[in-house]
Amino acid sequence: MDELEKQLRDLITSQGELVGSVSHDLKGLISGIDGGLYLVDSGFRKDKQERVDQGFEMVKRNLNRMRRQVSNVLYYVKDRDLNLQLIDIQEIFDSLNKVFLDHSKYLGVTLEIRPMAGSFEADKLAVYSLLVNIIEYLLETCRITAAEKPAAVTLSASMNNAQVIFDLFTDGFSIDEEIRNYALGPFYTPKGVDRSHLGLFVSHKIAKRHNGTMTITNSVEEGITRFVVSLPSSHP
Amino acid sequence: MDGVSMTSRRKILVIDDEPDVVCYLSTFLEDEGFNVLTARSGSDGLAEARAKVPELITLDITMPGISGIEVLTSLRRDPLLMNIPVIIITGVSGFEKLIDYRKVRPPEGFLQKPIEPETLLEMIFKLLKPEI
Repeated sequence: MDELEKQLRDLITSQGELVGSVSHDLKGLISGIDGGLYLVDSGFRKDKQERVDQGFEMVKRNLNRMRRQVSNVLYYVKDRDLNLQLIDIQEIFDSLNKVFLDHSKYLGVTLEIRPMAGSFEADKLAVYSLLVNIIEYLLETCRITAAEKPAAVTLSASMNNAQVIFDLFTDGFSIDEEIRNYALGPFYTPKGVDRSHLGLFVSHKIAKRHNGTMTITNSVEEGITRFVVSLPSSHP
Repeated sequence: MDGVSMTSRRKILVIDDEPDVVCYLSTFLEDEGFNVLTARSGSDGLAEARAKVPELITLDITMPGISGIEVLTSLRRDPLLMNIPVIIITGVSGFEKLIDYRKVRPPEGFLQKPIEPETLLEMIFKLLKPEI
């Protein structure tokens, strides 16, 4: 009975932590939307088109992040059936470029998504979310280190007979060894970062849901971190 | 005294690692007539404060490297900067528990994110000393 009670308490505590963490993230995103709206509104009043455009981008960016956060929470609380279809890798990469290219420049981080021809069978929306979450994590963490040294994030893909392999690499930072062990858990919040990274947990869950794997390797000496996601190229 | 003459050329330092928040606060305060300095980290914020000695500082708590708590502690220990009013602007709930008030004088103001700009402005007006 004591053990059951302890497990129940731990579960309630962890759920509370998640709610707190997500609420904290949303506060930051709302601040960004407020800021964007202020720029749009004052830009119109002062007839400053550049300010209007900047504010509009800010609103869009934060709304997209909010959308992703809500989607991650929903993925966290509920398993979804996979909607398997043939996915064109370059099509996904084009969408990622569209989402992140300007954002990475804004953060002062170089993003390179290397072209790749090929297709594989998977849930398109889920795989897209998987990659978005990792790229967002890498860019956000690099943003912090970018002031000290130039940082770059690279996404590439390769295929063999049975698998498609996504390689996401950065020379901007290295995850500490002890953190690496729980970075794919639901409560990982990097020190000094104002938001949680539920996204990595969800990406890992999506990879497992496809009978794939997601691993992190790093080198503290070289200051590099690499995520490798392997997914089956077809499902029986 | 009207708003413009109250704020004209008065220096406020905004320290926050979130670019959107820095952009929001600096644009808003400049529109209100302040001379706004910005810093995107605790260490840059301290350097900027020492170099330019602002009349008021807005300070985030959760930042990479030197946290807002450490910045506040350093400001309070620096004879040049110890009397500058500090407004903490944070999304962290219950941050007060993180500061040992036996060692550090509390911040003069505290606001939770999301920010209400009018509340911030009102607080700044209350805290800025009248110009002689």
